Amino acid sequence: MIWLVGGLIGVVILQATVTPLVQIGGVRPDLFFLLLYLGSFKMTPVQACVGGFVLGLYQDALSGAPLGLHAFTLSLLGTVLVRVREEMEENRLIPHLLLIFLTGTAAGLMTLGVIAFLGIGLDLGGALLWIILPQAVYTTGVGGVLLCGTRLGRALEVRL
Amino acid sequence: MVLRLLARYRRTVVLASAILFAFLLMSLATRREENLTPFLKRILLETASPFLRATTYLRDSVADVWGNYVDLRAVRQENLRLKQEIEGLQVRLNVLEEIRRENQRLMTLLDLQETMSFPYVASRVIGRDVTNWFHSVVIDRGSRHGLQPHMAVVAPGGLVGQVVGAGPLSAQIQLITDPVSSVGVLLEHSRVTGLLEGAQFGRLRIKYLPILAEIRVGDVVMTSGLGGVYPKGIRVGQVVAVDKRSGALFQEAGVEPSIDFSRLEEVLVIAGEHADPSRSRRSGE
Repeated sequence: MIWLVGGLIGVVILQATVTPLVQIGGVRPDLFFLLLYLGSFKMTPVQACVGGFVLGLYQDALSGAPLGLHAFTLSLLGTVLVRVREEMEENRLIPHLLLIFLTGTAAGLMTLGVIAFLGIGLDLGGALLWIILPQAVYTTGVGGVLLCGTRLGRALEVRL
Repeated sequence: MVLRLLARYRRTVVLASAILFAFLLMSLATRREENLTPFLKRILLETASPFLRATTYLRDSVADVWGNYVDLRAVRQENLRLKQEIEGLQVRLNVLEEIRRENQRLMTLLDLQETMSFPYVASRVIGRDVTNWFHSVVIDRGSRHGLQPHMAVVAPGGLVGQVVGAGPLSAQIQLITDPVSSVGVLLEHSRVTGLLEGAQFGRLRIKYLPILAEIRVGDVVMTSGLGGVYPKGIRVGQVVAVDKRSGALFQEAGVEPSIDFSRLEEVLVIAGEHADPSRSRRSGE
């Protein structure tokens, strides 16, 4: 799990210092979620659950969120992602992008649900239109670039 | 027997434990008198802050080197322009100094000496909120520099927010645009008070303004000093919209903050007597 620690440090730096510079309409990609998604290629459901929990805790600590909010979302999603990915072919790009979008949207909806449960007043329609869906689309785009980059790296490795 | 069951349903047990623990943390975080979640948050923040500090240092160093190179090319013209500007500013400074002295005399007369006389701790923003849901920043000063929760934070443009968590070397600042932030404010022209709340997408809204008050677009919004967290008279922004509905008990106003929070780099933490540790972290005023 050393790669997860390295990935976590990288994601903390990128999400807190770089993504604010590339935000579109105030929305940034969720790199914590992407790390979990890419990590789910290598993890068992139990590892994904624990890994998601730790990633979520850091996401909560570095935001104004109550501690546990994203830990809940990401631990649940980590388990689901590994299960779904077990049924998928690793080499097909479109299903992966679709899965990132759908699980990203699900993560946003779960977060919104818990926020509403905690009594923090947010407009459901507004949050869906201006936070959840744009974030899922942006995260999917970045995820696509990362997946293509990973494939390109592998292809070059084989040729060399 | 129990161990065998645990081994058999390991996935379910781990998932259920994670979810339960997450909900336990969240329910604790919403309670006023508890110390576990702030402690955990401080630990997590402190383990992440060295990397953020190093990145900020590296970025600033690169920017400095580049800036120095660019500056050298235009330094002559810049120097001349700055000299002229300094002369102009010197004249303004003299006038302002005179006004300050006069103001001080009047404040002494009115027994309002405490306004804006607090010690400040200057600090640099080293990280921004990592979610799209909340609005906070991480700064490079913490409890070792005298920072405590509920201290007001300002920038040259106006009010920034308040400290909500302080580790030894870093602290988290809840911005006034955060959905759970609320600040007692006063409208400069109409002299009525209301409650400024953050909302989604960084908007600000003043609630509970008297329905009969005459609120104008462009009216300057400043802190009212009510509640004990924020000192009175700090500029917050200006009214950009007034929402007066017939039959309502109060009117509301939309506010444009005087600070561009996306470009916030340095802040001043007011390390004075306005910090009140007994207040809830989820309500500013």
